[in-house]
Amino acid sequence: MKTTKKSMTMKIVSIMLSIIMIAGILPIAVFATEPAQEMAYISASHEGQFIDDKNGSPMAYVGVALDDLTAIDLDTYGLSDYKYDKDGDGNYEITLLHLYIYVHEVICGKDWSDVSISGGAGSIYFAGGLFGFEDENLRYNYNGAYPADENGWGFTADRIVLSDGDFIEVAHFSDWNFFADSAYGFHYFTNENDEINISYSAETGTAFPLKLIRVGGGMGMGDTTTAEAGYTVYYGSSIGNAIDSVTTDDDGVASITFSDPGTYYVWCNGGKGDSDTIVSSPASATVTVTGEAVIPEQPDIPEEKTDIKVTIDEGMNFNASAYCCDDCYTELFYSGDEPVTSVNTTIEKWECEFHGKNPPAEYKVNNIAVSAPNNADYIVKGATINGNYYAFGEAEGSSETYTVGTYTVKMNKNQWGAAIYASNYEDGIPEDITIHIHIEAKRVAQDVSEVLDATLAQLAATVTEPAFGTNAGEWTVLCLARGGYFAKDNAYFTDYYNRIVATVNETAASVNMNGALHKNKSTENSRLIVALSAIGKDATAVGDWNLVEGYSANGFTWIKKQGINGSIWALIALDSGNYQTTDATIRQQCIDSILSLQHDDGGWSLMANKTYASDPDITGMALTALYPYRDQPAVAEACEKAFTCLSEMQHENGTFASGGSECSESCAWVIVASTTWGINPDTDSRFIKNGNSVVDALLTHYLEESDTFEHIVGAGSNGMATDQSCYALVAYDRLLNEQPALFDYSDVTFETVTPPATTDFSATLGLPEKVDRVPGTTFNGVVSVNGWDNEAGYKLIDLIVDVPAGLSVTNVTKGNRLAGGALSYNLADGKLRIVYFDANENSDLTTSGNSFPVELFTITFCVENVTVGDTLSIAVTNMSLKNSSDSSDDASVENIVTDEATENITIVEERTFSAGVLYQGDDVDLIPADKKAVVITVTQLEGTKKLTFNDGTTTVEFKYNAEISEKMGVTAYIALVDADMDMDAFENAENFTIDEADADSITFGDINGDGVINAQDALAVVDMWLRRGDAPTDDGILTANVNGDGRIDTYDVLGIVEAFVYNDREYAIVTKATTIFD
Amino acid sequence: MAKVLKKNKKICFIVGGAILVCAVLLCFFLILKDGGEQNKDTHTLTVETPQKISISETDTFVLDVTVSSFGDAIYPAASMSIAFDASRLEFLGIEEGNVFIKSDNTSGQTLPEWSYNTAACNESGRINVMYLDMTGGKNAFSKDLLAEDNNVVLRLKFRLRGSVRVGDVCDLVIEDAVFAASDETQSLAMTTNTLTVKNGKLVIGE
Repeated sequence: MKTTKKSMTMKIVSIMLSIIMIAGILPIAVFATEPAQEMAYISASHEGQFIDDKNGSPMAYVGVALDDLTAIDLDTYGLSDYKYDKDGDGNYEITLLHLYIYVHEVICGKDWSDVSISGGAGSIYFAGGLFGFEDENLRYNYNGAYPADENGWGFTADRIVLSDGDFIEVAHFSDWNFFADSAYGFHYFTNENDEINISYSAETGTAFPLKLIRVGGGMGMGDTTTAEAGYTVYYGSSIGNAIDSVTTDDDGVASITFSDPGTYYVWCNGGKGDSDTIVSSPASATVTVTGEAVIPEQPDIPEEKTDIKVTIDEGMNFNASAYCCDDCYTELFYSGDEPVTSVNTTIEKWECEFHGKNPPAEYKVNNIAVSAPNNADYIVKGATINGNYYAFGEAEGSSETYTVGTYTVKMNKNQWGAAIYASNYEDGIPEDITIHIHIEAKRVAQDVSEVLDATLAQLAATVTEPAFGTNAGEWTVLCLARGGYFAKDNAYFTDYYNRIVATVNETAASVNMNGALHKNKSTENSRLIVALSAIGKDATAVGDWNLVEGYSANGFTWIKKQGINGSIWALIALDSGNYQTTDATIRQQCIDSILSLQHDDGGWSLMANKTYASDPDITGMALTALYPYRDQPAVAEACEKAFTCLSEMQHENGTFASGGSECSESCAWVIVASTTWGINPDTDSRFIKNGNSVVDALLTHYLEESDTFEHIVGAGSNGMATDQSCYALVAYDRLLNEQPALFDYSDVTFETVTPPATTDFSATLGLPEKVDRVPGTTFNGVVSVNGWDNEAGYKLIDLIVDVPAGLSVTNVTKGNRLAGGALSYNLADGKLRIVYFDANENSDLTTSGNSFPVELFTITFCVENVTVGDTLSIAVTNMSLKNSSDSSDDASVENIVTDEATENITIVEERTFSAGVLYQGDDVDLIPADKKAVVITVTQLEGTKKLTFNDGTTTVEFKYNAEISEKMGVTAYIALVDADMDMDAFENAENFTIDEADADSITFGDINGDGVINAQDALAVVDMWLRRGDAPTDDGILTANVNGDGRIDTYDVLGIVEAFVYNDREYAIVTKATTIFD
Repeated sequence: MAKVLKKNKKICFIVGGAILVCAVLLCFFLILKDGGEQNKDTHTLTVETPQKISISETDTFVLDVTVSSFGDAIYPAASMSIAFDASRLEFLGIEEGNVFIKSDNTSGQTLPEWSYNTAACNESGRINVMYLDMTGGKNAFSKDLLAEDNNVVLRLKFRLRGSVRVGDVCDLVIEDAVFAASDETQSLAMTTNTLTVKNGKLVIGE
């Protein structure tokens, strides 16, 4: 027994040990809690809407496990240079670049080889293709802010190390100036502590406040945060599938009450900016709602269980009847009992109010069939009149005329006949029904002249000098011209035109694309053409340029760079003056493009993706542009659908919303479109909801105290809203007064433009302003022309230069872009005769390069015997290009206009300073608008001495420039100064100090200052333009801007390449410098 | 005592001598090492010319311009200025070499398109030729696409002019050349001595 007990004890011990051993070999993970995955979240949008992933789902904070990114080997993508070991531990970090690759390939289902990448480590640049975006016009935020480095500039994707919970937004836009717009930014939802989150929690039945903010700024400027008031915030089970929407209050807070528990999405779309283009990103967040479902309160059932109100216009014939039966939910009421009453009339307009059992709300129907919300018992569709069913608005009939009043008809069960019917009616129609028939006064179109006159007066008073641009520019001129505020010959318009001529001459020459005013934006031309035509100016001859030619010469490719906007405004512009295009297909290409972009709902938007919601602004613009082509069946059909779509877009308060905001501009474009088509937007039932017309809605944005309009109600005065609202009222007023539509300029008398004498080219003469009186002093005059045709077969150039007494000519050289001939010249009797041709082979004369003016000759004058204070005039005359020796053939010669090729020089004794502005930046490409390049020429100064300017407040050290010095024959310096500096100060000798030490010098094109201009310099300008690295220094700007416009762009790159391959060819900026001294 | 001192002095001489020998060897080694590395990092652009060209050569001929190696960077731009005797040689243009640049196409590589102007080159006696990748790196030169037997950057096409005589010597002098990287310190350039050049010499024979 003892033995047995011991044995048992041993067994128990053995079992215990076995259990312990088995437990010991179990993996610890069995007992461990599964760790949560580390995630990063990313959104991507285009034009204020989330783009779709490969499955068609919106890319709104898509979660990606960081573990999934570790498998991405940058080496295999050729991105070895972008690997980043931040902490120097020998291990490369997982960065936003990894996430981009994952999203692009796995989530978007695209090929990474489509992505165009450039830039070095720390400045990676996505030039196009990322997530399918067609270009580089995008920005990103990281955890709700601009990813600024210590200098305020942005870390690039390869330097942003990802951590758990990071969220990134990538927003792409069509507007290349989006970042300069005051409404630009990224939208976010925040909690009551203004903390940005992408997920929230809420309770059912309790109002949940979410604040909508826009974070703008960035890119070296610091972030700015703005609460978005009056913004529409949607919520639903998925993005794009809204249950309902709410509008943010003045503090940007959207208050949402959820009835049922679950996970919801809240979101808003990006919004428009000052230029009427989308400039901000969409926002989204998830809300997890907990608690019991809340059943909405049921409204009381009214005593009169059915109440039908029918409103028709006064004096219209009316034929209606009331009907009721047990089975009134059946499809139609063709059979039934006798009607108890009938009223004969022609129905144009209906308003019905239906009070039935358990309706969740009161429904009002105006002309069109409507559907009740999903949880309603009733669907109200139309009327049965004399046994025939009509959808609202279609009924016709005749006979008796009823006056304004209210008529009541008592009906019993199964009696004829209801004006409406209902489906899903569960309990049958009640026995006692009362139908009220109201006949109300016809709506009379309202007079807006008081508001219009006040707004026009305000515009004229505040925009005193309109100039080229969207603000205080063409739209204001359009208002005042088409509104008849000023006569066409008023100085207001003629002065504007003169400013425009100067702007066009400079801008078109700079862009150098056949009169285009912007290389990517055809709407710059279109907007100007619309305004100029409104004041009777011919857009084919503005200064030296034909603004219409660009549409044909640059082709539809240029027009479509701005998507549908380009096509719409090209049509409006071309039709404003019935301008003919060299390419006769341009108009039809625009029409076809617009039609192809029509959305399924009949409207249009800036988005090429037709599944997106239509936008009333763009729909209105498209309808306006297409009106002249309404005889084309496809156009007519499209426009009919579009008007229906517009009508359906109208809110119950009569207004329209664009990008989620009820705004004046949307109302304005509905008015412009409808008036263009002869539709009165104040009385046509399609644009009246609940008694509110779109004109009523527009006027709610009017600010009487300032005679301006606001973008959204309560937001305050806005320039763009005022311009658009004003010309909408002009359009409406013109309709009431039976004048041609806003853009129908058949009532405008166009000025006849006298064509240039015989050629499109004109000559200029560049001279220094002041010349030393000392005999033997030499200086140069540069003869240039502003155009050239290498296909014209020019064989000879000749010209005469009037040389005043006291001067001689020591040399004449040809410009290094001119080729094909040999030069001869002689000075006799004060006339310098120059001829350039190839006497041996009769070769064609050509010029190289595409920038103008092109220098033809440099004349070196020598001072002989002059008097201090003399003003000597030197003039180029009789300049011609000849292509044959047949003098009887008028076509053998082209005379170059020389009206502008006369200049004066002043003879001085002391050292003098002359100053001219070479260019001023325009904030578009790397040169700030508040900076200008100034050239100073100094007489009686040899060598390269140091020149310092100091007027007591500002000190500027000027850089010597050998190229301009040699070209002008006078010592020349250059500097980049503040744009508001007084130029007179630069001509005051007392403000200058000259040291014997050598000045620093600037050589155009030598970006790195190594004394050699080669591929390194060209690449440096490419990198500047691609925004790699820091913004250029003043010296960088001065050396890089070799074509002398207000920008550093690819034209400068090409300028450097051309100058190199043509062996030190002169830069356009040097030729330009000779012409800037008056 | 004097013996001990003498012995110590001897030891000092031996030790000092050993140290001196080691120092010399070390210096020698370092010089060799530097020279080797220098050699390893030298990138050379060469105008390859034949020993002699016959005056009866009435047809055109081409001269290869080769590069020995690239650094680790990518080079989105390149240029060279090559002076030649335009009175004896007529420059006819550039022909393709066999050094690729990166590309988006399926093969991932393509040949660069060089910018030049034949008339301007003959007028000035200087061949200025430039390649520029406007994307700033997507279509760049890279050592990955350079091989020992595929190192011809471009080919210069010439013809002898009628003025040439037997015994004339026509130098082809590389005045400037650069393979430019966005980070200029990574560029290979004559101006910074990071690119050496070997000029060409054409001797006109029978």
